[in-house]
Amino acid sequence: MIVGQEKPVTELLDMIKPYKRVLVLGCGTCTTVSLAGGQKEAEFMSALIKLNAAKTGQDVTATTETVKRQCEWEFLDDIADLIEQADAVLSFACGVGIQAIAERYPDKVVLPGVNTKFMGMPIETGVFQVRCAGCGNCILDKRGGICPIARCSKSLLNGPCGGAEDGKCEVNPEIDCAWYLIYNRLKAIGRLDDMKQFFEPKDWSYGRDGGARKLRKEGIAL
Amino acid sequence: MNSLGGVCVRGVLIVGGGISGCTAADMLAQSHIPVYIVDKSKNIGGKAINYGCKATDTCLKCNMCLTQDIWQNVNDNRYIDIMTGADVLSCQGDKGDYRVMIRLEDGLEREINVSYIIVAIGFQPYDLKNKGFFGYGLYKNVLDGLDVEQLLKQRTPETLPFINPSIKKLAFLQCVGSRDVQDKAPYCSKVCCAYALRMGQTIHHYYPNIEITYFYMDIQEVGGVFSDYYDRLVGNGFKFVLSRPVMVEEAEDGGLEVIHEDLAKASVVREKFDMVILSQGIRPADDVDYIADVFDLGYDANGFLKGIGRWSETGIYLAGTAKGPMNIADSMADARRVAMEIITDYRTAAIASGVM
Amino acid sequence: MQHRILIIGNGDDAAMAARAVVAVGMEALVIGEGAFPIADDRVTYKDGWTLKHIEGQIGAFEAVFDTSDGEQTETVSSIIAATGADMVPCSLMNSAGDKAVSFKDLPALLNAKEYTLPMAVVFIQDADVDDGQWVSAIGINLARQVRKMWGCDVYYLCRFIRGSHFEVENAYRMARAEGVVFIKYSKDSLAVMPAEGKTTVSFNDYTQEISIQADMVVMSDVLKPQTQTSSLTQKLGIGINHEGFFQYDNAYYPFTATNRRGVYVIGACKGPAGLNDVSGDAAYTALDIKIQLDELRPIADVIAEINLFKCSLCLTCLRFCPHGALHVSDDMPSMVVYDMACQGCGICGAVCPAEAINLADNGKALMKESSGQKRLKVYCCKNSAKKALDAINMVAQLPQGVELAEMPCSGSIKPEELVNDIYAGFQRILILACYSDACRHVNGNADMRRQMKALQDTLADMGIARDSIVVMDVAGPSSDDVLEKINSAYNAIGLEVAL
Repeated sequence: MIVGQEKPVTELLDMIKPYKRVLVLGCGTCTTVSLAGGQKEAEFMSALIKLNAAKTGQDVTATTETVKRQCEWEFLDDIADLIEQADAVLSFACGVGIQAIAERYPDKVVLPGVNTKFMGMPIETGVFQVRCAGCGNCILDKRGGICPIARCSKSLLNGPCGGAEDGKCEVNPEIDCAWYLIYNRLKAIGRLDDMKQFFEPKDWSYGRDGGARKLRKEGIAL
Repeated sequence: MNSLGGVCVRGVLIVGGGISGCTAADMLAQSHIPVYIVDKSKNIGGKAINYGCKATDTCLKCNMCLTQDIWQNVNDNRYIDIMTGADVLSCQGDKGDYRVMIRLEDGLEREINVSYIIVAIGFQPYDLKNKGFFGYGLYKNVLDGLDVEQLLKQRTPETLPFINPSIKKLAFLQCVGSRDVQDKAPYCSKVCCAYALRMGQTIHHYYPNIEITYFYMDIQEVGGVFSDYYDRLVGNGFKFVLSRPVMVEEAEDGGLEVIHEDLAKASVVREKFDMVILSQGIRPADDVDYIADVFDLGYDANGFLKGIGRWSETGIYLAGTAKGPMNIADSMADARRVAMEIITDYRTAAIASGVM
Repeated sequence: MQHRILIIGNGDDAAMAARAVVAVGMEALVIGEGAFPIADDRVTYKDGWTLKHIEGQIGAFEAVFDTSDGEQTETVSSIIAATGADMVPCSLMNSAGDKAVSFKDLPALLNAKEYTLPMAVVFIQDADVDDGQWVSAIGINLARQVRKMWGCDVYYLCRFIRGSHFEVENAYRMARAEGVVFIKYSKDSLAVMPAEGKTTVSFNDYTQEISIQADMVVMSDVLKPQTQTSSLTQKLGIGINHEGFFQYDNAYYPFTATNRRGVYVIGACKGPAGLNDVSGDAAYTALDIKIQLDELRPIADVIAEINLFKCSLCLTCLRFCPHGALHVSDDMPSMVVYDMACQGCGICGAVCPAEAINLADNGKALMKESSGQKRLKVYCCKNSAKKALDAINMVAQLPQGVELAEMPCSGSIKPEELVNDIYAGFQRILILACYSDACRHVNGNADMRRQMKALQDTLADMGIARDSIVVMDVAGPSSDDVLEKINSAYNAIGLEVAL
């Protein structure tokens, strides 16, 4: 899932200051599951906006709505009139959803309610950790199912830096050394030879470089 | 008469409306079995209804909160007929068909016809008059465990009603009227260590500067989750003195003196305290002989009630502290078990007669 | 309908459970490792089966087992865990030399045909932990046997005689009459050391240092949770206490019933307290199961309802539900509530990020409406504050500006509800929750406290005082305390306004 984190309330209140009618828009997929921007968070923010307005004597109205996925125009079309009526949309989606609104409603102000953090999973209740860096060329088959790019603090591809202590990373002793995990896992599944597979420096043209990336799903795309 | 799966059934008489009696009544009534509660006092609830909560900043599991549902359910239930201020006069018949004569509060007599009887007459606290040398009733700062249980009910956010600023040192005397062969109570009353240790913690929570001392013979188990209780309390600064005091006297300045043997010094010493709480034990109820006579029950070696013959054959059951010392949770469990046996019996009968 | 009960464990506790289950006309499916003492056609014993996981609810649990023939699934109506506990030699055994035996091993020596008669035998109790009354019972009776069979000097060292069971007190008295010498030693004064073919036991008896030369030292074993306890509690979705035994440290779980309806724990697996009356607990549990199953009905008037269209399957409710009452639907993309397991606490609704779960009216009901100026809103947990107020009938006499709402558990409060209360004009919100370890729904009060802390932080950032939201612990029996907490919260507002 894409993991997000609500922005501090003061930042959001500041952001919406110029606008009178605010639509607080939750997203029903990733930010719901990462407990940052579902209907609960949207309603909570709405309530805070109303309270702040009453307290400061501002004339602001906040409407709340949640759509299944803000990153698909079809879902956004369903609430076209709500968006039209608002001066600004405070989106609780990830960065993708926020941009989807901006693209679909070119003359509308869209504000981010959530900081999009990473692709990850819950490791315990309410705690999320990164798992994937979206590099575009997966090598998990050779690294015991543990990604050195996302989980090694230095994104080392071919072995540990040597700074780990008791299996903990020297950059942040609270996190596990990815290479420690990779070694143990490969050993456990009898594939330590995979460690010997050497990777050339990462070709980031599959990932971050080369401008905005695009993907065609052959067989589906027209 | 009422219905259980369509069969008309006679109900259950419960003698005693304390926590055991009411717990059984609640269970039975939930299964739509008519219940009569006879209690000689003005209200149901027995002793436990007057006990207070002993929480500090956390719950100490005295289980008082579990009793509250029971009082409410019993008062609100249409299957339960409560007779307070009433006495049982006589009981005739057999299992399945007992006729019990009851004298009601207004003096009128009423006969009820029941299938089962639960005797849940509870206990009486040890009579501290027998230990006059501890000064109970003589000195105002000598309290007993039951007093404190009840006073705790009036606790407020900042104060406990029985502690005033002059109290700096407080002693608990354990085993008053328990494990005492001369006093015809060779048994452990089971509940006193638990309640006294909890009370000590409650007092310490409100007034951390009060010095608390326990005079004890053996500290009993306080319950599964408290096997480290003793050590934790020592860590709190509580003192434990292995000694059985012989007397409490008023000091010249108005305080109290506990006279006890100091083992290390091998001599009798007088130690000053401002308050003494006597952890008095559990004794058979005062009307135990009368009830044993009416319902044809026997006694155990300590004078508590015991059934004659198997319960399932006589249909007369005992529940709670009528059988011997028990804490709140155990009394409730015991009463529920008795009620469940009776419910199962009713069901079996209903199935046998082909209506369920 | 024939009910079949799964019993986990094959020791004495499990045997008692099986007998009790059969005695009330139900069938037992018992799993364990090794032999099981009961042969009865209503008891099926599966040697070597281990529990993998369970699904379902009371009346129809699907239990999946690992067996030598692969995975097996069985449907059972209820589950009793009776796995017992491990008896571990106390730590002093390591240094005590070869003259030391544990309570557990002594009976074999007593039954042996050939042995050298010892002159002095020392029993030691409470060396590692303060042993329970069942240890006193075993130890005292062993001491009496030794005294009787071997006729030697028998010393019994302990910190406490735990004789709250009548039988123990009696045995203690008899043992003394028969010549067993009981000595209490003070904490941390005990040392046991081998010396020249004997064992020296030294200690302080509160008056002086004492040494005894013993030919044999018999030490109590310590009851420890089994290694499987922790994983078994997770598989069963039930509590574990701070010592690692079954059941939560919680006022609402002193009996054999657990936080998950239909799952019970009896005997030593609950720790020393579980041993006090195992046969009674077994009988009680079997009857409880039978009565519940015969007329299975929900236990809460209002239970959680899930909006299938809103549910995002984030599993947050599953992680928070204290009663194992939620599961992923087999045929819909949604969570579903087990209607017989839900206890209506509303914790799931408060944590659901999609607002997909609701109890009727959020589980809240007004006990008293404010009139005139809104000043104080009080949320009363129905398990504590509400009962305390009901008991004294004082609600109507509270000041006009006080509004009272009851809730099924403080864990059901949603932060936005409180923001809306402040928006509506309330100057302060008082949440009256249960003390820690006294939440009927295990952790509802702790869940609430975390949410309130986060809310107070957010409000503080907005310039709204932290004490606009006050959380206090109360208990049902303490009516005066509850009343005074409400009044003082109310009066504190008065002062602020006056300033």
